[in-house]
Amino acid sequence: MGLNEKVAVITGAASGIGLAVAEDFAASGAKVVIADIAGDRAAEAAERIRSNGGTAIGLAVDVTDREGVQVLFEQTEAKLGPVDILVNNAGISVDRGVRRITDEEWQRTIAINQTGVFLCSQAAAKSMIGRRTGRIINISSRAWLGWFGQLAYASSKGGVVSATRSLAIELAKYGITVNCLAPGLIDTPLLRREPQEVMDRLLQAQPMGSLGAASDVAWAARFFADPANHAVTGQILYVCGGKSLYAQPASS
Amino acid sequence: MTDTQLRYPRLAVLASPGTATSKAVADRLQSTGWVVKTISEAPAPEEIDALLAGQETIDGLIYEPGLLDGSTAISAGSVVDSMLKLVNQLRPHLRPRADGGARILTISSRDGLGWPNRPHIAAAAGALVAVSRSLALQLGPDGVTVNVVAALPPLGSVLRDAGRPAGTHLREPEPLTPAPVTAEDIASTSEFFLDTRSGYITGQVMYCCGGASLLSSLSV
Repeated sequence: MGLNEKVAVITGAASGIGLAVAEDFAASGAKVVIADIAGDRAAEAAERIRSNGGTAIGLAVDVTDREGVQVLFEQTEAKLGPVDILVNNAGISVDRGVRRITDEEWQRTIAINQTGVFLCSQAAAKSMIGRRTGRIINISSRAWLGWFGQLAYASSKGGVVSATRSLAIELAKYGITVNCLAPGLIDTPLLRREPQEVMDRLLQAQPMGSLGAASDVAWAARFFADPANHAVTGQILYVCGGKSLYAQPASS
Repeated sequence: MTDTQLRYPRLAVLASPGTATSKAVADRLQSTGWVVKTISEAPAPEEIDALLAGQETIDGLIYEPGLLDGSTAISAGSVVDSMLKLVNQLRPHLRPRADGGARILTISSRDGLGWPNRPHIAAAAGALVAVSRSLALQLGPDGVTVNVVAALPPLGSVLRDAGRPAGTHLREPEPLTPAPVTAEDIASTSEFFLDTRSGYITGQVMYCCGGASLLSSLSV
């Protein structure tokens, strides 16, 4: 499953799942753009990939800013070529229930998680349509099904699911596939900061009883990114160890 | 997935009536280093015994009952019974969790979303999704994943030429993407689920249909 010479833009790629996707794609031969609001960290991550023999550049972008997104794609094309693969990964999570979430938190979550997908997908699609090929991969979350204290996050990620299906339908005739990954419990430094009793409870609610790794998500992203996989589009694939099948609602 | 990390020759058991789809899956897996042993979709005990003679561990089990290739003797009850029997027989031989676990894959049909002139296939396809999700929950603690590829009948299938269902205004579903769905596309999707790196993906249904299933409410 090679991505040889394909140009891949991955947003929110300076750390976590986005970085794992960038590293995986680069190892598969793609030329990757690590796009992140933290431009210095994006540059550092790109440097690490280059030191391992990959092709990567780091670019700063605020995915909620239309002009900034436009510049991202222009710089990508100028430095590496037109984008073949877009991974919409940038996102934030606000753990706040309906009684406490503020207007600002709601708007910011929707802006980054949902509007960012719209702006980046629009820019990528305009480039891909003319070439009659492309892959867009959106990172949603298992939480879009609904979860305690995640009203804004779940709503925004539900929007990503719906956007995936609409984009898939609209862009299919151009040979562009649009798919979505919905990770569950993924082992990240942020998650590891949870108290042990919380971790135990989370794992008990998990059919496979284990955490996933960012590389699990990256692997699934690579499947969707593969130019050969033209017959799979509009799919929502949960990388969640079965948690999407049934999760014990042990916390509230 | 030609860069699959092969620590040892991986063994896949493919249970199928011998369709074009199953041949494509076997060819694909063999081309990437798998050893593939085929058995019938409802094997007799002797067939299982022969399969296991001298075998150590099974990495992948693919159940492909022929829903995509126009098999006529399909019923929801028969495919569920066959799959459960097969899984129960082979379960002790599946690679254990400590060694990476095993993969079970069902190849089903997007007809499970409902199709007017194939209600038996639709029921069987839907039942296979339900049984696979249940098995995913049952076998998850053992590191065994269970997933479904629900495909459009591929190019060459007699179902592609089935024509307009009598008494309806509907046409046979077509991909939204430019190219037809082939047995090789189904094989590629199957290989993804069978890979060791797909170990955190279980209970999923992947439609390999070029988007033909997207406007069904059940497809999300």
